[in-house]
Amino acid sequence: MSSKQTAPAGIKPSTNTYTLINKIIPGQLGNLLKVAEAARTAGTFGAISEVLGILHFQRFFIINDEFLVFTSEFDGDDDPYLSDFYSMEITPGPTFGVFNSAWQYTEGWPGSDNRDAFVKFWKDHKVEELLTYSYYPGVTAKEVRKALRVQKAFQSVLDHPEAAAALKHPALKELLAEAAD
Amino acid sequence: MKLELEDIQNGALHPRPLPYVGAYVLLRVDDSRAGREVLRRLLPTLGDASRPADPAAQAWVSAALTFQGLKALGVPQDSLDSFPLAFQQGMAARAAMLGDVGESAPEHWESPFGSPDVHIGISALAPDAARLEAVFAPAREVLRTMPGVTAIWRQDCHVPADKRNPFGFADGLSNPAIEGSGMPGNNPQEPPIKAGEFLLGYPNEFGELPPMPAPEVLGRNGTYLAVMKLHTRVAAWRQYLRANAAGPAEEERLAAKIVGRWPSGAPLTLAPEQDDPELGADPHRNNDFLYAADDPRGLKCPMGSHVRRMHPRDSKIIGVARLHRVFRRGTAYGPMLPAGVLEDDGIDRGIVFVFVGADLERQFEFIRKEWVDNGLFIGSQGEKDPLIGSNDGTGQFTIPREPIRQRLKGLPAFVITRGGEYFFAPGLRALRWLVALET
Repeated sequence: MSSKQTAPAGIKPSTNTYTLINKIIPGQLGNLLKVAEAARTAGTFGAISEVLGILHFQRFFIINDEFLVFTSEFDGDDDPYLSDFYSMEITPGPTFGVFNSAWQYTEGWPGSDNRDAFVKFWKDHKVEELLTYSYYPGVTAKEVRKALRVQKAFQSVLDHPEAAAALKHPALKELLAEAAD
Repeated sequence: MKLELEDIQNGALHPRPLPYVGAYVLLRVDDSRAGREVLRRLLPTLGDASRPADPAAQAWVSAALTFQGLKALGVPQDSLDSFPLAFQQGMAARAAMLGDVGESAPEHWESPFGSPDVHIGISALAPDAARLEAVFAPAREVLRTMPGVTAIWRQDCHVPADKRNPFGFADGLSNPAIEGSGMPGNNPQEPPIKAGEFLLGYPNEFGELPPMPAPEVLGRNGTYLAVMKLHTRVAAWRQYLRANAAGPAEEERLAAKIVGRWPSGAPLTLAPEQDDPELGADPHRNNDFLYAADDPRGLKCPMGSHVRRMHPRDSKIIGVARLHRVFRRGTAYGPMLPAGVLEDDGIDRGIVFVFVGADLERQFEFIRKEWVDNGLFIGSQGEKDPLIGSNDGTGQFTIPREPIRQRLKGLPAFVITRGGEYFFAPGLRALRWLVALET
């Protein structure tokens, strides 16, 4: 039985959460922390998300100094895009990123030259979610950004001295309803 | 890396010169020895890619096998088990996932599609009907004397000199260049794709050798085909355009926005306002374009238009477009619906599509699920391909336009799947191995 919240109006929620967990190789915690610090300083964690355009949030954390956990909200199913993710994030190249640098310090990481092994690693270490909720289900990361751009534009319209007169047109009725606050 | 062109079946790589007529035939093998004997006799007629057959002289013949066919021919179990899951299951078993639902569902497919009886697929293409029959006459004779193999389906097809498909649009204008094949693609701005995306035994776009069926002699230089018979609802297409446009010029504009090219083949990106037949007919120019610099928002060619979905080039999409590139061949069947006719005449007309690639899941199936029946990858959640998507009368298509975008609504399906199957097209050495099996 699915524990995913159903979006209003029967929209199939396109946003999924996924979580990966793996045991850190004993003695490698220090190196892992260095990778995280480097990414934080350079601001590169998230570079891949900017390119892919489907990740809402992503985070790494460590439990008990023993386990590395990665969790993210992602539009669509991760399965079809694993190859693309592998190509961009795992194989050396312009977008080779933190993801690969971090997982190499965990047990059983297959390295960055075998797509099938990477896919198997992903599936083996994926954690099935128990309960999930979204405040805006069924909305993609791109739509969120678009909505924010529209909001920004709308707010600057409202700042115009003639805004009230402009919004009087019947076609703009629904926008006018949002103008008061 | 040089390809072993002499081992690769001709049909896997080379485009046929136009015009041509052809036929696709499906065989059922009831006796494995008889099946292998038919293949043995077929072998000499299969051109190889190192010396593409003189197009004026003869028919080009290609042969491919389904998973059930390999089984019927006596391929050992451990070899069968080494084939990818999608190929083993066959297209019908994966129909729901691929969007073949409703009228396109396998229960409505034309026999023998969807059944385990489809074993060997043969395509023969020739400059004219006489030369096509010159291939089939002796083949029919062979089958007559071999009760263990039966021809169970044939579809005649053609590609006219102007490349027009049943919708009246020039088709098949874009194919990738394959590294090491000596064959240029038709877009000078697109770097060649790694051979391993289309042929087994060569490095792919990850720089890895794609998984190959065992034994190596069977897998090497082979490739996978996804074959589909697609019925085109040309009358419904014309009715939709008529109902959504104010006049013939607007109808033509809407049609071009849906397809991404004008009927002549001129791409919207290079001819945004009106058709340019000279451009459409010029193979050196009609595919020489990219999207990102010139048309990032789709104001010329909508992101969701058919050609931009099927081949996003350098558009900003989710994922890496180069990982989902296919080679495809489309041939038309049935007569054209006469110009100006909006009523369906009940005649079956459409396209037999063949997709060629080394990874059915990552290429053919991915494109269907993520680029045809989904708009997530271009940020148009809820929109499907307006031409070939499995729309149900409620489909929507956004056409970027200044100042206000245009939204087409109520899109029905214009293409219905009448049948489909996955095939493996072996190299010539592999076929000789198959023929020599003693099971």
